[in-house]
Amino acid sequence: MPDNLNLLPPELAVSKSLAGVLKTLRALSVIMVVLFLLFSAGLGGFFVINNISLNSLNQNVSQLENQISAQETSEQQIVVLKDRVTKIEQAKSSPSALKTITDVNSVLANLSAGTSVSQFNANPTKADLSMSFTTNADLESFIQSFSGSSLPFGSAVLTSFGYSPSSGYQVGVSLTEK
Amino acid sequence: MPLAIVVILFILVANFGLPKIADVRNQVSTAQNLKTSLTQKLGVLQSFSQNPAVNNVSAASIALPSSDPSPIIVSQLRNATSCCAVTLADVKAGSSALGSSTLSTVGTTFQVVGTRSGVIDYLHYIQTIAPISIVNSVRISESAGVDTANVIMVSFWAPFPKVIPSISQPITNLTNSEIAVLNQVASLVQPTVVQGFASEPGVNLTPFGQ
Repeated sequence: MPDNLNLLPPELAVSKSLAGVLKTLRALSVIMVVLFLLFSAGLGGFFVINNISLNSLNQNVSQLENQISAQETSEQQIVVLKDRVTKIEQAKSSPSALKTITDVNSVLANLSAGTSVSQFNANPTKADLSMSFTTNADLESFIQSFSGSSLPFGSAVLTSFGYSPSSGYQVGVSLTEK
Repeated sequence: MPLAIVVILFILVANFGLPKIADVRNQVSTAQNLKTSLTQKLGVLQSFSQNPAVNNVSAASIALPSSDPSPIIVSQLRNATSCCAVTLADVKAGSSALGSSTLSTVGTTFQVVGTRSGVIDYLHYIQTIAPISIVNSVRISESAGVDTANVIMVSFWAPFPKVIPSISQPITNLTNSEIAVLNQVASLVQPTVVQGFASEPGVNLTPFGQ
């Protein structure tokens, strides 16, 4: 059985309670050192892994940039096409007098033979017509053509009205688009 | 004492290491996003080269040229008379007006003489020519069964974009509605004199200094 030798003078002897505390602290220090080493290694490892990942991503990005540069013509064509399409739509949405002409023509198409249009001004919002009617019936037929609810005009205003026995009725009409 | 040293080391390593890790994580995240964006962009560019719309670049550039299209418009108006048995007279191209949103216009006035139906057919027809033009106003006078229409037509042009987006900027493919517009544009009556004008954009498909 081993003997427990202690050659220190008795006055330097550590009390039992202090010895317990010191023992606990020593154990705690060892645990903390181990934890510190694990923490440092983990941190370093995580840093290295992320750096490798970053380098790999940067390489991929560089390759992709090269591939995109090789497709520059396609990119330019897309940019031009999108620019043209936007502006073409803008241009096509500009008001045109053609709708007014078409609308007026649909009214004029049903007129009797005794009716003639001597002048016709059209812009995107309205049309002004100078018309001649040989007989009262022709004029009545024209006026009745505005009674339908499906007419494309918001208003029809009689701007002038004249009559001569030789040429019949001379009428000026202003038609405003809806 | 050793415990205190370990605690201090913990604090030092954490203070130095954690910001470094956060920085690298940020860089990885940014690079990941860039990679995703570039992959998507490359996909769009590769699929675009297979897209039939690529054939409409020239038609779109003729429909909306990058410079004043007056000479082409005059030629188109003359060619269009054969459609409707009308005669064209007094054609005058006005000066260009720069629009507010980079869309510029140029007015052309002319006189069309023919039957009423011929004149109206002609007015419809010229809306189908390239470059895109609209009839702004018409004054038709009739005399002895012959109609004379004084027409003001507006044609459009716009400079090409001057800059190409940066390589990392995402790009979207043409939408169905954009393809539909391009198909409409491709069906416009094309001018026969494009090659005669050196500055005509129809031949410059890559206007970014290539």
